[in-house]
Amino acid sequence: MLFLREIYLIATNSFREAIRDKILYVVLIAAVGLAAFSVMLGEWSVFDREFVVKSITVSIISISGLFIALFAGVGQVQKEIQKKTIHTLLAKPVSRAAFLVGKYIGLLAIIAVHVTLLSLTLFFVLWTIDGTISVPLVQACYLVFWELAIVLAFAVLFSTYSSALISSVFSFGIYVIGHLGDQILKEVYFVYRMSEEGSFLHENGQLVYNIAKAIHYTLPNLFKFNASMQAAHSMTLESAYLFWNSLYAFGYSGLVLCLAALLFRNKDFV
Amino acid sequence: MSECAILIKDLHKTYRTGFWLAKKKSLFGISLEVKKGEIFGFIGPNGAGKSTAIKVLAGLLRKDSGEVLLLGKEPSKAESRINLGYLPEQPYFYDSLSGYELLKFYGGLSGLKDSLLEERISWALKLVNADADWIYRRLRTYSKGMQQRVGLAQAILHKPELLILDEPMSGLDPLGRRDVREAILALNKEGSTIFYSSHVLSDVEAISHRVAMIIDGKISHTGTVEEITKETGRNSLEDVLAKEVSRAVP
Repeated sequence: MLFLREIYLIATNSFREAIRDKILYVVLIAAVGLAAFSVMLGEWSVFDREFVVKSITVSIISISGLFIALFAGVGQVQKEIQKKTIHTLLAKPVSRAAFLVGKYIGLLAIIAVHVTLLSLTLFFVLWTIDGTISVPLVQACYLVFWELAIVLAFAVLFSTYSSALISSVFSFGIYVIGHLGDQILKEVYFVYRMSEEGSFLHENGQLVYNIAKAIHYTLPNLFKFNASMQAAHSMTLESAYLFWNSLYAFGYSGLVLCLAALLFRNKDFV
Repeated sequence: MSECAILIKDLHKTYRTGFWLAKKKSLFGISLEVKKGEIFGFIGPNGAGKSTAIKVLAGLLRKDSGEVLLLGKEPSKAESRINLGYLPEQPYFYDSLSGYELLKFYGGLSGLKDSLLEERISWALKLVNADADWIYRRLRTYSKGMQQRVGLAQAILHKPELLILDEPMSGLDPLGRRDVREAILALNKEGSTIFYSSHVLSDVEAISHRVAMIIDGKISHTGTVEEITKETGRNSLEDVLAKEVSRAVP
């Protein structure tokens, strides 16, 4: 029970701190502006305006959320260490794992608020252009939240043992590779299949393919959380797909946080 | 053993620092015993290892070897800190919070129930002689003295059995120093054991029951002020420290 109370208090404090951070408002305002701008893009595009607004805005929610995960996730943990506020906090009867989990939950709440606000903006934009607010659109926004939950866990993990810049670069890398992982695997397999027998590519192709497969299965499959096309085409996702993806994100984030707690357990705060 | 608030036996500590993570050995087998109910002063020149030893006690640094017990428990375990109050050297706080929000947050983490928090915050602020009106202002507007007072207040909110204070008088004006000194005495009177480091040796002489001197990561003297000055044939702790430092310089 004490562990839960610690987590609750740290999460609340972390949420409050993030809410008072001006940079998050800059990201949010920029994202709202871009969502509104997508209407103009829809006008200029050869595609249907509603299609463009839906696909672009879902991507904006994801990318702006990524920036929040980087700024807030990396920033808050690093700030605690650099500014030494963590010294007073960890001298309380608080375990280091509770500190990390509390921080994560507080920041996840910020991401939830961000995704909700931008989703509402998207619905409003659609309403103004007489578009339809469909179930697939809500599903796509829901999956963006879980995708960001994984990236945030990585941001917390990296920031426990490396600088803010390196942590941000690594977390950004996870986001990019996570989205391209499936594509990279397909490309590698294609090159291997198409190469001539006896050539250097064919000889080493299997090894490269195995490495790509190992990376694909180890790093998070974030492309599974990208449902912007389904939203744009109003294709409803099966509830089982949503359930297993949510469970995957929950489990994956949990594992990453466990690793972070393990690394953080014996860290010296000089 | 049960009479010991702090027990340190043959403590060694090396940590990594700087961009290249160079190893720096800071403590070379120090041993100390602080009895319950004592005011124990921990003195030494800059870089002698005072803050390192204190951070090991607060659970912020992990020991290399040796034995460290805080009220009978290992400092790396969270439960060892239930009865600990800690004020770091140059305390930093969340500057987006007000002093009141900060005290509520730390009070909660120290295990205080919401119903008791208001009463304890008023009590702690009174003890550190802090004006109640600035407590609702954001911490980024606080002067050094105000920060130190709020830092001491967060350490004592839950009336801990053991208080560890790293340079509690640093950066304070004479009135601030007097307030901290009086707070230490009042807390000790209420039953708290106080272990603190300080460069203000006149204060250490005035309020400490016992003192330990650390030079280059090794304890050079432990005892009452009278015992140490008598043993070394000096008039004051300052003289003893000056002599020890000059001896340590290669």
